[in-house]
Amino acid sequence: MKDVLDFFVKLLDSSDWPPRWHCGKWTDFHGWLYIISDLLIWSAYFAIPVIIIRFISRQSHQRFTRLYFLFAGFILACGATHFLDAIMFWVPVYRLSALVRAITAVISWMTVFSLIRLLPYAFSLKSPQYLEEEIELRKRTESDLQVKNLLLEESRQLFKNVFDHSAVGVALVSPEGRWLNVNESICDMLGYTRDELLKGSFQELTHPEDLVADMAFVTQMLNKEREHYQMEKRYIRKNGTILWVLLSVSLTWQEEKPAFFISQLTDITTKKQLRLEVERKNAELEAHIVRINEFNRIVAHNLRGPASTLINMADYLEKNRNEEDRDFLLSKVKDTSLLIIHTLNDLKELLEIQLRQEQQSVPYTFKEALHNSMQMLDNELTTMDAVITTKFEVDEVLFPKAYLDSIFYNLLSNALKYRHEGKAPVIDIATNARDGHILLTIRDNGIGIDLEKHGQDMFKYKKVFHKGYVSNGVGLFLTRNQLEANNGKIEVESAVNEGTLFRVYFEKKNII
Amino acid sequence: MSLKLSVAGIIDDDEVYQLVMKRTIEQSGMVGSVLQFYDGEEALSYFREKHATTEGLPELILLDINMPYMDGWQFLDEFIKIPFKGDYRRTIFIVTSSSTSEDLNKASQYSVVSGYHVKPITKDKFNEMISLLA
Repeated sequence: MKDVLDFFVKLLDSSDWPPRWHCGKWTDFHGWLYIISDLLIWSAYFAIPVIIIRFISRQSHQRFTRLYFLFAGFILACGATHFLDAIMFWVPVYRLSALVRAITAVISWMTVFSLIRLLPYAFSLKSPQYLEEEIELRKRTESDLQVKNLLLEESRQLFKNVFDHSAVGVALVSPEGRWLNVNESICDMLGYTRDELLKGSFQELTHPEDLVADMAFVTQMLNKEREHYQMEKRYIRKNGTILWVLLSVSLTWQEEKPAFFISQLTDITTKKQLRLEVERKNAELEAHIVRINEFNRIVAHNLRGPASTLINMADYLEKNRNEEDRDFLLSKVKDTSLLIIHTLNDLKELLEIQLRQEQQSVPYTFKEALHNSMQMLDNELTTMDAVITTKFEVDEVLFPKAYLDSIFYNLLSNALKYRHEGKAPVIDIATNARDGHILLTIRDNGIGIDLEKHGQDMFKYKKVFHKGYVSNGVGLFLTRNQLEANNGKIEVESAVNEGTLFRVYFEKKNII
Repeated sequence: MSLKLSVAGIIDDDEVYQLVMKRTIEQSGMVGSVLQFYDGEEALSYFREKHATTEGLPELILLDINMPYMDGWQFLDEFIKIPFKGDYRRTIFIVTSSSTSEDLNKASQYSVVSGYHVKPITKDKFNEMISLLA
């Protein structure tokens, strides 16, 4: 203990030993080689930690900092021992030298232990080459990722642009049909705000007539029977008008479950209306052609017929002197000429009906029209004891007055004319609204018509079906034309001896 | 002059045409007698009545199209169903005032129809028609 105390007390005391120059035989060369080498070692050992510490201080996230400091301390200490060795030639402070060596020893071993502790970790570190490759790989991956992100962002932007600004309506729809998201175009098309739409479903806005077809497609999609579908369908706008769209639908699946439909709606209302207009015009043209053909038939048979009869007559009278024949033929000249005049009159009337001239549609009650015809047929009705029943569920129709009078007169007089002998005529008259039409039915208990024979000629010009009756075959023909010119029609149902039922259809939108 | 035909039939509702045609046929001196029917139904019942013997049935039939109760087409539809005795030879000419393509086309669909003639039928025209017969 005394030695230790003595050691520290005399730490800087050099009196116990001679300077090294005087201890042993040193040549100048030997001594200075030793001294200079030691000083060089010391200065180098001193420089190294400075460099290390500067290195560490410039790195912000340096690992192994502790180890670096230990190294720095270790080298500094080693340097110090060499420095002391050098000054020992003049100042023999062997105690200080021993202490510095002891400190060096401690720091050296601390460094050794520290190294040993870090060894497994150091072994796990990648080689620089490997690291470089990996860095390269990561750089590549990163740039790939950047490109992908860019593309993703771009396509997201693209979808957003399409969704937001497309003239095509785009909607995300739940598998049940709820609107999940809609773009501006859909709102514009349907006339609802986005919020209003998102509260409801597409089914609520689909035209009832198109819902079944649409739902059939939806079911097929959900059953994976098809991947997408396209259809022309109608929606009802907020203002109640009809929107025609071309609908294209695809379904997105997530984890084997239907996630949402992507629906694209293109407004084809104008196109559809144009097409319907063209179809309507075509139908009108076809009807015109039918009418022209009918006109042609009447001219060919009912005008050319009597005209050629007159020629035949003249030809015969010129060459023959048979008094009896001459009297007969001359008596027929007037009849035949009248036939031509009557047919011409009928044709004029037909044209007027078809060109819808003179006769304006006005609100007119069935009761009044019936009353007018019954007045004209008053004599017959009384003498025949006719019974007329009425049941007018619809009272009024928008139709030319004269035509409705004429229709009632023709059908009523026919019912009376073709009555059963010895059986009072019973005529049931009724009206009701049906399938967009007003239906007038007139049923009698008369002799009926053989429709198998005459069905197709029923409403043609100058066709008669009963022998022994005075009939010109014009009434039903004109009735049919009066109805057709006003978008109506007439049908007949009958069996011989079973009576006849006429169904007269009027356009319903005529109702006020 | 020998008779070319023994019986001809006119089916037409026009009384004037009936008389003029009857006289024209008679004056041609080629036909023994003329049968007159004023509509298709009347003619049909005559043909039905005589189909088994074919005695007195016309060898030449002049058929109008436009007639009441039963028109020319309806007559033809029923006529071709009648099971005539095998040796009944007849020629059917449509004689009508109509020259519409609709009627011409329809006539051509009946193989039983041999010709289509448009009224008026003058004496010369009838002689022409007769000369067409074998």
